[in-house]
Amino acid sequence: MATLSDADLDLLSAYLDGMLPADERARVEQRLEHEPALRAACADLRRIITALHELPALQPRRSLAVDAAHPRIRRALPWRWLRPLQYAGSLALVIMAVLGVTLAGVPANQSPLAMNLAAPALPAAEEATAEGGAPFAAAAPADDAARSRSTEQAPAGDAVAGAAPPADGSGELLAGGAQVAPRAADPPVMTHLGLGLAGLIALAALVATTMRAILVRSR
Amino acid sequence: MAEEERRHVDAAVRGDVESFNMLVRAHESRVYGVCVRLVGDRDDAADVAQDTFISAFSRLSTYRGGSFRAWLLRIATNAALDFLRARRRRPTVSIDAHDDDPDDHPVLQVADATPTPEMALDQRELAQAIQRALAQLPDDQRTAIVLRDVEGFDYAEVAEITRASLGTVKSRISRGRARLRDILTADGTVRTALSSE
Repeated sequence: MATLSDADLDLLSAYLDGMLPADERARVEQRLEHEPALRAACADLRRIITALHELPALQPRRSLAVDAAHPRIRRALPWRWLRPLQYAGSLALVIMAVLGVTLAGVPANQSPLAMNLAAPALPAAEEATAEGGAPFAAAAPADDAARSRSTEQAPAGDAVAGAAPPADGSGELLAGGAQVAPRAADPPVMTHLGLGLAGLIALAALVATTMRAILVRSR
Repeated sequence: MAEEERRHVDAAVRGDVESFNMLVRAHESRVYGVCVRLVGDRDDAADVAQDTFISAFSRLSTYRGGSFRAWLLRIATNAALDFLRARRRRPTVSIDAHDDDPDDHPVLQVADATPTPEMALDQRELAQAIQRALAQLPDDQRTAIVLRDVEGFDYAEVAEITRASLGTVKSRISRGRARLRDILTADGTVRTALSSE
């Protein structure tokens, strides 16, 4: 087998691929007629190219479809940050349900809403205590009584009335009520805050789920 | 790019895995074929092809239009060459070890469905010899030859897939063919098979 130069091999390769302009192609064909080594190489290359081209198309034995659960696929999903929010939303809904059941047994005047509305009266009540000179220690033992009196002054379901000064204008009663209010209100206020937070998360989860559905379906 | 393919790509970019799998089904045969020719083993090639599609999904945001097939095959050839480099760093079993049982390795089989027994033998031997010869080429030449002569891409597509200039691609194809000729013609049986076509 005669050895050809790289230039001739490049020329033959381009010739066999139909990459040569007409004039150059004509020159190659003229050389092929007169140069047996070039002709033999051209024939070999043509056969090799044909053999390569006739290699069978191969089919994979298994599907190469990607699995949405594959870690690298999950990491690549554009809404991957929505998923934790959805989990948090589910948890928030559970919390809301538990709190809802708990609150069902709380009297209306001790509901989180009523206690929260009562809270703004605290600074005024503390001020009244200071002016009236009633010592905190003296007011403390009266907690239970004051609470019941305060409850009597605040009819059930009337949250605003519960927050208003007592009808008899007694500063002591007001002061007592004010000292009692924080301890009585603390658990319901926390419940209320928890309920609000859970509601907020659940709402965000709902928005996240809707966004995901839109992303998936908008093609 | 076909309109349908563009829609699938757009949906996949937004994270629609099922749309991406439509693209996988459209291109898996070609991607797998290139991987087999470059890697030389069907099981390894399936792993490389699978990795190609997973990587493609992960990198969809970097796809800037143009030929999706070329973009995909660029990932595939890079994955296959990475695999080969990794394999060279560790002990491995040559594909020649499987030559005695070609039915288990259709990479060595040929397309003609109705050859005579003698022809089938010749063609199978030729296909085996070609695969062995391909394995002896430098990676860049083998990639260019597989894309051009086995898969039928034109020079410009090969250049796009391999991110090489047109001149470089022409040179790799030319050198690769010449080297294949040297390898194959050194084998008397193969020379006979080639001559009988």
